[in-house]
Amino acid sequence: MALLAMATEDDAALIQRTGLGDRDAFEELYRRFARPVLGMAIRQLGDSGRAEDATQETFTAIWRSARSYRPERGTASAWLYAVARHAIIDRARQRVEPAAEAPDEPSRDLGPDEHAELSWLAWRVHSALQRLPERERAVLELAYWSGLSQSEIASYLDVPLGTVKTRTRAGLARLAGLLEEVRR
Amino acid sequence: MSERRPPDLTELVGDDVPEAELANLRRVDSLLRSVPAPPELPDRLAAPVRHESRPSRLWTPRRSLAAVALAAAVAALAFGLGAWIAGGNSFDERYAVEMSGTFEAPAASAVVRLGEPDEDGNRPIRLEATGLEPLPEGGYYVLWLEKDGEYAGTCGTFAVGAGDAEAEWTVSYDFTDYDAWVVSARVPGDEPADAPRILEAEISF
Repeated sequence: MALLAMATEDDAALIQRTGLGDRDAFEELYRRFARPVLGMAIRQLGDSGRAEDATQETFTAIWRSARSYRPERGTASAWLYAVARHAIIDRARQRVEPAAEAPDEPSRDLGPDEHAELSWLAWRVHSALQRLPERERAVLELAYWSGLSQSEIASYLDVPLGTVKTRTRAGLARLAGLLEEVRR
Repeated sequence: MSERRPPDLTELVGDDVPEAELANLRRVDSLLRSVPAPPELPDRLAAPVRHESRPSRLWTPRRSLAAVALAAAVAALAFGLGAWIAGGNSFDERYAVEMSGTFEAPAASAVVRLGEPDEDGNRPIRLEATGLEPLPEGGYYVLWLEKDGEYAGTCGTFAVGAGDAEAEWTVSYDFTDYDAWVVSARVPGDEPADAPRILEAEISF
């Protein structure tokens, strides 16, 4: 399948093709979800080395269990989130001392419910970001998390300031659609 | 990560955006401000680990044929021996379904066999499982009927010694009311709702 066509394919179709042993579909899933899985693992385990292990284990589990995915039972994103959560919990159980809490600023002073809600929200946002065209994703990540001003981003990317604003606007609009799609 | 907050939305996208579009963008802007930055992938995770084996290896067509042939031979032998030993008093199977291992136990599998119900609707049910891990002391496996994604009806529990298990119960459920067979692993100290799914199969009568 052409890369462009696969980039627009929905997550459920990719999981189903992975279940049939399609490595290209699996690699596209990895491209979309490796960062959200790693982010979730870092927040849960508080240790980058163990989080990386958990990320690899998550994708091993996805490869092995994709054929058990049933679209009628829930969204693809929720299924992938559950697989990742299981792998991360398994990894957390292997440590002797209690699992560390995440050092992320937004998770401070949160109860279990709020922590779970933030985890799911971050998962949705991060995985939707991975579906954006690279030029829009880069501008959004720099705008929201780098601390750079719009002018500094323009300079960093070597594009006019107007282009940065246009890409930001387009990226946000596309992200709105993707997040709505995940919620269905 | 920088402590500097991102500029206001109108500064990010310009002040010439129509109000209706701005409202849509504002929702996303708010979400982005509420979550941490996605991490960069280290070199180690730049690409997925290569998996040489394909999923569903347990029941490839070739293995299935071999398994069917082997099962037929074993069944014939078992039936002959059973009839000889017990005078024909064997499990009166009416239906069988294969369960496959989830990602928690990809090498495990099982067969659920349903017998003929009696006049009151009590039906014998037999589970034959292979490839299951022995659980910690006090742990046990549970065969469930699942409905709408929830564990809905218990058929029975069983323990595993050396990876294989066989258990038999009598139940009175109408199986058409349920969606799937599920085997979960119950470990002491864990909440029942967190019991991981180990084996599963759809119900399709």
